Amino acid sequence: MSIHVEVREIGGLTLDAAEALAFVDATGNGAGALFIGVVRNLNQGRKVRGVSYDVFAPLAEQGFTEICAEAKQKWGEDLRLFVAHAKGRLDVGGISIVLAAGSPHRGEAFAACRYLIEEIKTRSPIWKQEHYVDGDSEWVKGHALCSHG
Amino acid sequence: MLVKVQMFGAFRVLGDYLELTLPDDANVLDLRLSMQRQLEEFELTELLELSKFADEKAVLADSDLCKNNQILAILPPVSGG
Repeated sequence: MSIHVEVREIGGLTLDAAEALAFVDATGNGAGALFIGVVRNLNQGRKVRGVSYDVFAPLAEQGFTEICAEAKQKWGEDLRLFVAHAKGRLDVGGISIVLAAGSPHRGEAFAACRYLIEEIKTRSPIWKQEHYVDGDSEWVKGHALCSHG
Repeated sequence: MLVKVQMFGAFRVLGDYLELTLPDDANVLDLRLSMQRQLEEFELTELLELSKFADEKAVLADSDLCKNNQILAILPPVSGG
């Protein structure tokens, strides 16, 4: 398999960049591109303590697979792709998503990695609830999904 | 027919699931309208308008037919990554 997609429950193994790079490695590859999404301590002027990720996992994983297939169609079937998104609560500094693309050439690896994150952010059934230092919590306003019809 | 809707994101305030009884020939639009009536007191009707329904395979159109004992998910605007 040249694609790995996963929604990972926090409390099990944390997301791991080394695991992603190892998966996309291949003897024919000259490039590996990596993207890591991390919980930051400030959003729109509010101090953030952590973020909870809610995920409709079956549909999310199917969507990740479709997005990977699109990337391979655009930048080559020899791409190796890794997608893992966290589900559950993360503190500031926690890794929410790890993406990696391995390819014979850097251009395709960078482009595919960028494509994965941009598409996942707007198409995947994942929701972020921010927890603030003042004790308040709020669901982040996001992107409305499109249906097939 | 009975349709169970799994809650996600801001809809979690309603619990994990909402069960709705619908006419036998109901489609997703009928489900949406039925939910709308129940959500008025929670000030979630605007969010419902921006939301989609889905099964485990696809996001559904309002014209898609519901099935008895079906479990669907309500998907408010997404914010992953």
